[in-house]
Amino acid sequence: MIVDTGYVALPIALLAAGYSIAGSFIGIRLRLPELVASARYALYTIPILLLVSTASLTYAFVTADFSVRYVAENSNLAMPKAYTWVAFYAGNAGSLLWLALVLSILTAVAVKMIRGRLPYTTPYAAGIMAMVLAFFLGVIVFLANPLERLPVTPADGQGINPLLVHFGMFIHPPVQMTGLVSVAIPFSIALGALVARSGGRDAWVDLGRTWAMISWTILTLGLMLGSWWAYTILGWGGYWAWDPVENSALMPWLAMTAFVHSIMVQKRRGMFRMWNMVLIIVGFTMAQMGMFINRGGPVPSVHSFAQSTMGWLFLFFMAFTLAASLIAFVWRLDSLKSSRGLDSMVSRESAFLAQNVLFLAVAFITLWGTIYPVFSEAAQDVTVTVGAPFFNRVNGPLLLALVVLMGVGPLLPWRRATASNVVTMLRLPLAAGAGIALVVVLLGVRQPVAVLALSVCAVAAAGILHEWYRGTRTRSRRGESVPVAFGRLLMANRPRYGGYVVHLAILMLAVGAVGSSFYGVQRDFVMRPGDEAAIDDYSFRYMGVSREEFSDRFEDTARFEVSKSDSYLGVMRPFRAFYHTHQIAATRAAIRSTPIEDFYIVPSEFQPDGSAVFRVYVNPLVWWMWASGPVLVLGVLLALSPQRQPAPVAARLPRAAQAARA
Amino acid sequence: MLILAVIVLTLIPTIAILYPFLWGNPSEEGLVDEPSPSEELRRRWEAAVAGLRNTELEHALGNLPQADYEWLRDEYMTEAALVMKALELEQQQEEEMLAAIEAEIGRVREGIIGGAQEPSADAAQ
Repeated sequence: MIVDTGYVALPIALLAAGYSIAGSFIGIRLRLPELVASARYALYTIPILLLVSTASLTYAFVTADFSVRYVAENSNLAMPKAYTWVAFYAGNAGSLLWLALVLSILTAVAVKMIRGRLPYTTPYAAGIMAMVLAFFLGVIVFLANPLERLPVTPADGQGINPLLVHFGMFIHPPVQMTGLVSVAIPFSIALGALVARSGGRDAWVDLGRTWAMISWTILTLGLMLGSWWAYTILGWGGYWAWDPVENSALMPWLAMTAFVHSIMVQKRRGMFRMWNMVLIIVGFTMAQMGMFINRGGPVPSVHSFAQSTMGWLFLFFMAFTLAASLIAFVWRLDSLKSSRGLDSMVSRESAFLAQNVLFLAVAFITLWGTIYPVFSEAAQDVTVTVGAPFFNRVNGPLLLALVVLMGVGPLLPWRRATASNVVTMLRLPLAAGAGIALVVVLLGVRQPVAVLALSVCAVAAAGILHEWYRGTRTRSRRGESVPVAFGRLLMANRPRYGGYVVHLAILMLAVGAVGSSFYGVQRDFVMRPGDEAAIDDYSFRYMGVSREEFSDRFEDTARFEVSKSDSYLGVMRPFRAFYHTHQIAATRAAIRSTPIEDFYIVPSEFQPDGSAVFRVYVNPLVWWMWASGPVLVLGVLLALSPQRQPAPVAARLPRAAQAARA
Repeated sequence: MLILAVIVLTLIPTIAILYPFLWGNPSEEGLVDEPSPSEELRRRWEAAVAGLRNTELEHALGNLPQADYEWLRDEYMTEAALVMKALELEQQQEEEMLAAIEAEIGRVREGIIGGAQEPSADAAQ
């Protein structure tokens, strides 16, 4: 009965979304306020209905109700109950329900938030959000219903995909999916404002930016968690392989990164209106491209676990929304003309512009590299693989240029920077960059690209730290202790310094990527129990392997005693599991992580005598990549935290204007 | 039991949809265009004040040399003056608003070099 209730809630939610689309657009067109309000209220009920369906599916998992097809396909009796959460989105239908649920909640919150400040835009934005939601609900109801029953109930289920049985899977897929679908919110606000002829009037910018920041943060965390999962579970010692699914998450992130910066110029200067509209359209299109690739797109991927045959439906919807957005863009083009131009080519605005171009260039190069194999196969009947060397070679220099702009851009003033100003501002960061280059060369770093990359990171970091230092010093001269002065400086200018904290997190990420990409060491060792081997400063002894049997798998766990430079570090236990039901092996690396480097062991198949090939890596600085996540979240929270408005100068204006007209 | 659940589920959106028609008072919901001319002037005013705050902030931090600071300040003050002219304010009202800008700038300076007041969110972007 509970499952059936959830099943019924889905078509009702679809009808509510359909009503909300029609009511929003017809209501605003015919100027029927009751219909507009009614459509909005209908939208508010969708999360309730989808929560009922979600609870029903969860109940089916918990009670091992294998009469439900999705439960039978994605769980079994041996699955630990904790993995019910993972099993929920382990397949196509469940992940679609998750997407719809998250989107419905975000939509309800967003509409509630924007209604007061954008009364004319809201019906259009709500109608667009409802349209995206109706698409997901339509697919769920007609093609991929997770609560569909089987004609015959099996005694046990097929079990969860073994690659998903990992702690990282509790967070990464839902965060990644939430990030992709959340782009629909700033997109709907922007497009709604455009259709309502408010796109060029900047009233939507504050709320659009806030939602874009939220979406960007979720996308960033999704990417980081995905990289961490790949690093710890896939057992290849890396975290980023330019896999199509990874690329599909990176592309919208790049577009959204450009957008959250570029929108600041519109807020401040009333410029880049067309750019910003293009960026958010590109961001949403790329987010849909991500869902298309993840859901049975034509490009093969190692981990599109929610793959299905309905990818082309997502492609069609992407084409539809892109075409509709571009028509609206051309239709309202006259309202997007900026009243001002660049005052100078050396200013913060021009840095933002250059940054936009670079972000889009990286995004489109990544897109081209991702879909090129499909074109190649269709046109020449030749299967081509575009791998990491292509992306590293083409995107690497552009990403480096972006890091330079990240360091230099915030140091430039708005409107105009003179030559003396630029020299003054960049003197110390450039000196720091040169100093770091010298230090890393003296430490033995010889690869020019690595030296350049670390030097560029130093320039960006020095710019931020120097400004903090000057601000803190100025305050502390007035009698505040250094920690208090620093804290108050940050709190007094939260958006600015929150942005700087985010930039520092990105620099930590970049340093980790440079260290591990250029200076990682990898070797394979064939070892029998009792053998000893060494790599770099590490020596390790293979003590033996033990097997543990489970109903759905067996696990072979190796035991290593590890030392570094004659100092005993402890025991490490990598393991390899084999799942009978899926006929698939899954390895878990043993990783000892420090800020200096990671020592990483992963086993291959064990022979009856206990021997095996072990792949061992020493990956420098990877720790900094994972540490950057919390720093990034902290920066975003600081930037978005509400700040007391001290002197409402602007608030006097309407009163003054009213008085003037009276 | 299932029928009852279905009825309840159907009633949720039905009541929500009917509410504005039967009991609501949406009045002008969604029908008022937000960007009126006075709103546009308000936004231009806020942008000019935010620019002044930011210029003051950069100067207080030592990021802007005196000549650049004065040039930027003049630019933003001109924009603020143009907005006031468009509003056709009385002399006294103009003076009040200019005094408010000066007070705001003073608060930004205090926020950076120490003091109780904090500059607003716009100043920092």
